[in-house]
Amino acid sequence: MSKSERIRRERRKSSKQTAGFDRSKAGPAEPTSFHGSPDSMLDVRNLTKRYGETLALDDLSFQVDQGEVVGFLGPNGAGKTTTIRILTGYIPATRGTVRVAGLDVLRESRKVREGIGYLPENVPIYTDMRVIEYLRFRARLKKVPSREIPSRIEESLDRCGIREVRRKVIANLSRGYRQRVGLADTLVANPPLLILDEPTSGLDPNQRREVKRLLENLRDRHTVFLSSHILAEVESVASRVMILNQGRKVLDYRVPELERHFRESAQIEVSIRAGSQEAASELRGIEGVREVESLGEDQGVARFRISTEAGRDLREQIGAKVSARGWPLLELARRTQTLEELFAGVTIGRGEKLP
Amino acid sequence: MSNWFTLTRREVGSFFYSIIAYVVFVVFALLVGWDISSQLKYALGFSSELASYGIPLRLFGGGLPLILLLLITPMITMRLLAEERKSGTLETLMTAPVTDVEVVLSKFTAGWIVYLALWVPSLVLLLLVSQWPGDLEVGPIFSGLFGIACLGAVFVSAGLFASSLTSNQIVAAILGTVINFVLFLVPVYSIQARLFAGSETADRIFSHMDISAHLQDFGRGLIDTSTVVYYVSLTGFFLFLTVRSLEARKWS
Repeated sequence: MSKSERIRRERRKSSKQTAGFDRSKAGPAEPTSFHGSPDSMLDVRNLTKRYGETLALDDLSFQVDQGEVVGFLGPNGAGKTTTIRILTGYIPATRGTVRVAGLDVLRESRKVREGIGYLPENVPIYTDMRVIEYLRFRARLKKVPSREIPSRIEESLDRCGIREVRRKVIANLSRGYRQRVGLADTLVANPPLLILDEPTSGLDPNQRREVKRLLENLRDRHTVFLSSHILAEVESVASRVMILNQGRKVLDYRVPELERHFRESAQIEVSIRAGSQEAASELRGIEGVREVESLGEDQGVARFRISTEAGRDLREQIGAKVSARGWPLLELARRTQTLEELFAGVTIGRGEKLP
Repeated sequence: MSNWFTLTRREVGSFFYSIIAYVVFVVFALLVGWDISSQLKYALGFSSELASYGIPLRLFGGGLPLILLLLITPMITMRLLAEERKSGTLETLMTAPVTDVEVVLSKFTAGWIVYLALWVPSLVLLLLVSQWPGDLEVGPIFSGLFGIACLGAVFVSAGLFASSLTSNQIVAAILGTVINFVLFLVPVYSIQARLFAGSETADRIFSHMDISAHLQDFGRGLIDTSTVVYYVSLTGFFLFLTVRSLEARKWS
């Protein structure tokens, strides 16, 4: 960078204090912080993307606040990768705007990219380089000041647990290590925003656990936008879950809301040796029961699924009622919905509407 | 500027990681050596009297080197962008804070550096040439080398453009060769233009575009500014097309 350019940048910076990533406060270990702007870290509005005739994204809008860890879910072909490519400025949207830390992703593309650590799907990295060479190369590209490069690389190596392979050629590393090298690359410039596309795909369960542990460590220092189709993983890492289906957002819950949703949608399943009709009306009479769905009768055993108000646990009341009538109770269980079921519900298109 | 340097350095480095590079180097050095020594042998066939006047050796003035360049530069350039596309690293690269122009310029520079390095082993042969009995004209040798460097820029940029169009290196190499041959065959059209159109102007335009004739001029010790400008603008044209081709991902 020439001197005049540096001065120009400084000027631009001071005239535009309201938006952007603040790097001035970032020490070697401190994450770069986002400051001043009332906007969110990520502000996506009315994003639409067409590939010829196909509509890949249909009016997608969402905001992500600083410090959030968003699990971005959806079936294959839902538009996750398209969304991520637009967020990182790799491709433009057909319509709509994306702002990262208040900066427009197209107009101030370079600045935006300086603040994003992006790991594309399948971890495309130069396999002919050694780990340490690659990280040094990427750190230079990402404008890490040269005297900070060694310490930044050391830190990335440690955070990703790849110190022992730092002298190896990437082509000779296992998939799990490669994934971690990719992550180390996203961390090397200490960006405030990390965007990871399927960071655990293609890993075996052990490797996946390691990457998951790594992701858990990221959330203290970065805003993370993470796509995945492995739900259990997202559940344990994310502070917010967003589900995309056919280019539309079909669900967007913060984890406490998600837990409440699960609690409230909990249902009770009961099997009673009794007449179906009679038992159903008896169950409906219990205070707090909202709906009784018959699951059929088999050899004199009637099965029901009971929805209760606000997901109340009415097992005791049901048990008491059934034994008061003298019916043999064969089974009584409370089932909470899993993210898996919720996911299936909103993406296959039955039940579940966007709240 | 610093990005350009970082990217170029990686690119040149990664070329030398592959064993094919060394094979290309050895084969090229052997063929060029064969060409130069056969030219020397031919010149020695003249009387020693003539030799003492000094024979303008056209060591780097077309012929075999030109044909070799048509075929070998695409092998240098084929991987530059095609491989990035294939392995997906283009996405990692373009989402780093770099511009399309920086990427294209550094890929070009790297290709050109490798191309120039290709000639280094052949320079050893100049030691042999310096043992020539008569007066040796040094000028044409250097102007010839200069011409080869300039022409190389054209071929490297054309090959880079070819590499930007596909994710298959072989296709990139073939495409690059085709572009090079079209450039090389322009004089053929020049003759046709003269025969059929009878147009003086068309003839002149075509002969200005004749790459091999220009290379011969360089080999004779003639550095023509308009030729240099022609080579530079061709290079610029292909680099421009390459930048556009990289941007094409944004149009779909």
